Amino acid sequence: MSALNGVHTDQPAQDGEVIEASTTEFLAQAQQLDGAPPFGSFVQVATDDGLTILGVVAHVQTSGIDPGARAIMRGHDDVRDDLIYQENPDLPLVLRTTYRALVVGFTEGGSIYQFLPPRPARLHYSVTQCSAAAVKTFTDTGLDYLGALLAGSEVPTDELLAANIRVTASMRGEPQAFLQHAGKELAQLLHTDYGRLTAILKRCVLAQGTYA
Amino acid sequence: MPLDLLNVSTQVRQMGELLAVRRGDQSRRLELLNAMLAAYTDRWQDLADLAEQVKERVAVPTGPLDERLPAPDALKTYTALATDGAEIDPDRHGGSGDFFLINVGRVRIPYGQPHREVELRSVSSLGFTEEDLFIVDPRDPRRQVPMRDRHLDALRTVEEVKALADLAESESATGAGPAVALVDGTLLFSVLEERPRDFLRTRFYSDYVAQLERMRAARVPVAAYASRSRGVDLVNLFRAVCGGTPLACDVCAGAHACALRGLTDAHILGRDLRQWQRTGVFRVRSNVHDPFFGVHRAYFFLLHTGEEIARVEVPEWVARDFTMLSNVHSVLVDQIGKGFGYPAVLARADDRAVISLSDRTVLDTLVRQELARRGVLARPSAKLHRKQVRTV
Amino acid sequence: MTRLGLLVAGSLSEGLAARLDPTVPIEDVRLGKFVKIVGQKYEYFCLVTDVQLDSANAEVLRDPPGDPDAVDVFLRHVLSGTTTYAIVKLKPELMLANTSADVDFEEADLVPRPARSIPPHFSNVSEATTADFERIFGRDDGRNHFQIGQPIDMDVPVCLDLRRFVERSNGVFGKSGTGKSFLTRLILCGVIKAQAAVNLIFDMHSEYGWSAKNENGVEVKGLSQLFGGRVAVYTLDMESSRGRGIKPAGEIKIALRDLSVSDITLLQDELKLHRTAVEAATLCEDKLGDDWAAQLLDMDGDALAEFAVKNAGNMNSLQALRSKLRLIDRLPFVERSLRRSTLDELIGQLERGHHVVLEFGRQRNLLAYILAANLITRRLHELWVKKTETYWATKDEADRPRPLMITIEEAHKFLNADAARQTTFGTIARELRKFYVTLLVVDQRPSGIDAEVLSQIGTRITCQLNDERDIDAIFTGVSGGAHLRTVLATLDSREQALLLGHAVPMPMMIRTRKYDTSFYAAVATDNAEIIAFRSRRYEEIFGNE
Repeated sequence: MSALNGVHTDQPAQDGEVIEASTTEFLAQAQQLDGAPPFGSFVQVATDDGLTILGVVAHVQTSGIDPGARAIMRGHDDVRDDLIYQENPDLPLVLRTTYRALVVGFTEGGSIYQFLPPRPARLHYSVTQCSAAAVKTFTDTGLDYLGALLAGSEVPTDELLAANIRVTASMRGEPQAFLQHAGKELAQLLHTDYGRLTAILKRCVLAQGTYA
Repeated sequence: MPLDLLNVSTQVRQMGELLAVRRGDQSRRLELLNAMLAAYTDRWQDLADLAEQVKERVAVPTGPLDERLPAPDALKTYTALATDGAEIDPDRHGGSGDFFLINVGRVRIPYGQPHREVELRSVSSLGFTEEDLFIVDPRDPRRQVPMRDRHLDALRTVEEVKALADLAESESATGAGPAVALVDGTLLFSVLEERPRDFLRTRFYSDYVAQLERMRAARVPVAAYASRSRGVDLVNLFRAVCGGTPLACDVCAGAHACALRGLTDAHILGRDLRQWQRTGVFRVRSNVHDPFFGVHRAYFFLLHTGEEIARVEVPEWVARDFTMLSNVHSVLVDQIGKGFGYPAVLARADDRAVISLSDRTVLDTLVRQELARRGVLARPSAKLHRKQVRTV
Repeated sequence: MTRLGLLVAGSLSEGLAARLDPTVPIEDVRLGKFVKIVGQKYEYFCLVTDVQLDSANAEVLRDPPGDPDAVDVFLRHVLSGTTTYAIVKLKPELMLANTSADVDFEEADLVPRPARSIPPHFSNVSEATTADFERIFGRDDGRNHFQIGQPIDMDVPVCLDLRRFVERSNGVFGKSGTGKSFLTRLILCGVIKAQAAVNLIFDMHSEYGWSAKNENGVEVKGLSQLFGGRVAVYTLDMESSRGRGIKPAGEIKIALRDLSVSDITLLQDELKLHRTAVEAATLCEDKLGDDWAAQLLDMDGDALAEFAVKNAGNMNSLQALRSKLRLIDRLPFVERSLRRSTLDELIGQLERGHHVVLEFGRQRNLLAYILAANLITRRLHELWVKKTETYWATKDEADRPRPLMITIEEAHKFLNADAARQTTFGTIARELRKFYVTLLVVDQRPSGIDAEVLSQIGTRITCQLNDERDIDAIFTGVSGGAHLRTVLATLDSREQALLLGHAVPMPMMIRTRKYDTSFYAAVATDNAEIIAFRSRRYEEIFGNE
């Protein structure tokens, strides 16, 4: 299973399907219950006309499929945790995990752009996790996309920035170099809010609790 | 908005006062009935004989009235099957032409069988052909009744059990452990007849019973579950006992009205029923249904869920099979627990069956587009249009 | 070209400010560093006059990440160069056409000239390259440009323009022990090698002519060792010179009759003479003629009194004067009269284009120094003025006098406010090169030099100074000096100097060139063997007299 804080593991790319889309974000339903890509990781949606939209997972939610249906406690006696799912095999069909991804850029015709695409993602198209190579290529272009994460609404922006930086650092070959680079980029974006900057940077801890 | 709230609220208060009075009155009357109940508890055979002679629909006891059975041991492995249905009536006022829609929710949940899949499906069918839209008397083609309102209800009910029978047959084919099939409401649904010919009942009840037969052949017990039952089949039997005339009745002792008035079977049988216990089974003697149902004659028992008393109806072939009956009881107990007061599998089926307003709108649009493609202009009637676009 | 940063603020009057790139370590940017700003049309050459720390956000400073743990180390790295950064203050000195710009330039733009405009925001600031130095300061070609040192942090020559150097009087300043005499040696070697002027050095401590010891006790070569026959050493104290193994070309003696009132004026302080004594001397000269000093000395008490009465002179003053004159009379190199004047020989050498070092031997007291220097210089000045007037009359190139550069130490004694008006040195300093005579003053108290004279000092080569007034004096008569005060104040106590003035296109802080064997090889007219041979020959010929 996944390790601390979205550190890159060998989980296969989780698939999902777009169920809502707008210029700035898209909502996807995960193929499997609780199967959303890690918070802060990069995902992509390819469309048929050569445009691939890239997003960062900014919020994951699990709840009933029916908007009115609310989950209530099902545990009793010794039945807890996974036993509840065994006892109620219909649960995965009436629950779903959805995740919101903030759009951070797109590729078209072999070029990478870190600003909003001309069209939103298409509904019902597949969402996949970006490979380490794709993440590296995207972040090699620059770190302008961090501004898009900062501007996200109704998402935990500070945590998101830290999570994305951690995930990306561990997916790239030289995590400490990226950490410094991203840190400096953040310092530019947040130069008027030092407290917030330090709060985010402190969360950018790599595995083993190091920063370098 | 147009409700005259001032007026209504006054009346609601009046109703409240009456309810309180009625409740008090009810307890008093139940006390009166205790004696009679005590007397007849063991004289169930006499009651059964009496039942055969009464014209109205009554319950026929099959054992002592105070039979109380606790829930059997839970089944580790079983499969719950359920269906439910909903319909869209052909809208005479709608411009979309005549059609109806029946939406059936099908649910199969295998418990304790992790390798098997859960099925939660909706099956929607549109009725638009002549045969769909009109029920024709097979003996006189000139007699046609439009498939609407109660008849559409009846059709929906048949579709529900048909889907249930489909589930039962596939389940039985897998050879997996015990299964129980559930529907909401009653097996003894009503079909209004149009005199002088009896072709509607024939049509619907025959179809219905055919489905029950499929389930019997598949050896999957089927039960109808009614939450917070208001059945009065047993009450009606007791009415027959006392002749229904308060003046002459020992119990009522010249009271103003019959003590049984306003009481339900649940009142009579449920007072000493504990959670998860069921009563013994009672046959329902119905002159309307019996000719058609045959071996699928309905029996019922009352079940205490903890919060209410539910009525469970089963065909005779289930009632007479102790294992099947036991399984029905056990499964219901488990399902009600999982469903927080109502069988979970039925709730799922209901979820899948319900047609929302947006669903209706989508369907309407689909139809309109299709008609438009064919060059048929669909316009609502003036009345409907006025409903849709309110002018002042 | 190493980029240092971007121009972000500033003005022509108060200096420019550039933001240092995050990759450039703050500690590497030194005061006085030579940098180049590339504008759109021009390149601007500047000196670093200040380095400041700044931050984009005051909060950082209130709660700085100062702990040694990993988080704070990370934070410091991230903040450096972004939220926290350095601002470098620059003083633009010169501007030059940016040849890569697509602009038609006038002739005047193609040579460096004082900066009159500033480059636009975000212009690139980078270290100056060797090529830039050469463009600005020229290359040491053994003729017009002479390498005097290197910038503090680069291995590139900084050259003096010798033609411009000898156009004015110049000064080498610095507190004692900062290596002024070595700097002076360097400059003299350059001038001698390039034949830019003929030099007369009043060598108070007998260190220029022949070998001397540096601060490490290592022997260094003197001018005559390096330049052989082109440099002649004369002495006021033959015994002392011989005692040190030197064979001077002659011993200089001064005739008392050559003494004039202006000498007395100059020697007021040294002789502790009252003003009235100077007036008395004037009276004497008036009444007694050229030989007044000898005559006064020979007067006895009565004769003196009589003289005083007769000429309405002050008896006390005259007596004081006479007693002081005795001091002068007693100087070993002062004679009543001279049969043969070695001074004439010395002058002749100069006229022929040979350089002269006048050693003082044991006569290194101020009285002797000032007296001899002033007297000799006066004669030379008069001579050169005559030559110049002849030249102006004939306009014949052959008559043009050779430029003469006179090196004097303890210059503030000669050039203080009082003396400057009265003495030849002041005159020379003020006259520029009109008469082809300039001074090279070496001094540790530039504040003691008359301000008007200071303002005529063309090129100032300054080593470490501490006194505020001395530092002020350096910048007298130089525009835009205020920025450089900090630079001057941070010079090392040795081997570093600030170049300022006429002979350099822009002020420059340098590590002085080493006066060592490689220098000898570079400047010597002949190789070392021949020099050695010549000195042996000299001994053979003149022997140990």
